[in-house]
Amino acid sequence: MTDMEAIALFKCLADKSRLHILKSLAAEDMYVERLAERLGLTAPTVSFHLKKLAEAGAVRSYKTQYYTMYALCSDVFMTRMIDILREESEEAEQQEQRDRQYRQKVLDSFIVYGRLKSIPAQRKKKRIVLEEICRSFQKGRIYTEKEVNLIIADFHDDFCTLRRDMISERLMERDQRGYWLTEE
Amino acid sequence: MDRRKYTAMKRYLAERQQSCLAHQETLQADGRADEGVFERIRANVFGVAEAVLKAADAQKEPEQFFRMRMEQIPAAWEKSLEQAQFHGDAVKAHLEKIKLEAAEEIRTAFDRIWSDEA
Repeated sequence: MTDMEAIALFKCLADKSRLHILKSLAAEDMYVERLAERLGLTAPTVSFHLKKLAEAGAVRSYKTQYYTMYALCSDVFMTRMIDILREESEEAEQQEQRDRQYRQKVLDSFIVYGRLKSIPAQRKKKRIVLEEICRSFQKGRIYTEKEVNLIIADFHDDFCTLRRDMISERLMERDQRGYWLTEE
Repeated sequence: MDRRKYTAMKRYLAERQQSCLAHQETLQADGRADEGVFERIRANVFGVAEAVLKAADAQKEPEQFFRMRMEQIPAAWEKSLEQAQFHGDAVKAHLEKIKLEAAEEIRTAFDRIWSDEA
C-alpha cells in the first residue's frame, strides 16, 4: 500500500457511519436499503458513504438479480499496520505522487465531465490540459485536420486555438499528410 | 412587504439555519463529519434564501421576486444534479439533492406563511 493509498483509506475510515457500514459488511454482504435500515441512515446517505469507501478500496460492489450488493475488500483489512509503517517512501515516488496530484487538481479544475471549462492561461496548466486531450488520439495514426478538430471540439469549441497549441507544444506534428501524435 | 409575514419568514429561515448548524456540530462531535457537511450545505441554502428575502423586501413586488429567485437559483443545482447522475457521480449528486430538498422546503414554508391570513 502506498502512502497515498494509506492516507485515503484512513481518512475514509475516520467517520463513524462509514465504520458502522464496514462492520455490517464484515458480517455479510448487503445492499444499500438494508444497510440504511440497519444503521438508521437514509439510502442516499449510505450510497454516498459507499461511494467513498469504494474509492478508498475498502468495499466493492457486484450485481445480483435484484440488487447491487456491497462487500468488504477483506484483503485491504488484512494489511498489518506495521507493514504500512515499514514501507519505504522513495523521494522520487513522492515527487511523482505530488506531480500526479497537481496534474489531477488542474484537470479537475478545468475539465468538468469531459468538457474543458476554459483554456488555462498558465502554460504549465495548459500543457496538462493539452496532454489530456491528446489521450483521445491514437498513437501512430495520421489524422486529417477535420478529424483533429472534431476530437478537440468534444472538449472545447475553440478547437483552432487548441490544435495550434498542441503543435506549438510539440505534442502533435503535422505535414501535408495530416496530424499525428509526437513520438515520445 | 407585509411586515408580519416578512418577520415570520425571516425567523423561520434563521431558525432552520441555526438548527442545521447545531445538528452539524452534533454530527461532527459524533465522528460523522461528512454528514455534518450535509447539514452545513443545508444551512447555506437557508442563508441564501435569507439574503434573497432581504433583497425582495426592497423590491416593488417582493413576493414575486422571492418566488422567482427561489426558482432560478435551484435551477443551476438541478442542472448540476442531472450532470452528476449522467456521469454516475453519486457523491456530487447527493450534495445537489440536499440543496434541492432544502430549496423545496423553503418554497413550501413561504407558501404556508404567505397564505396565512391570520
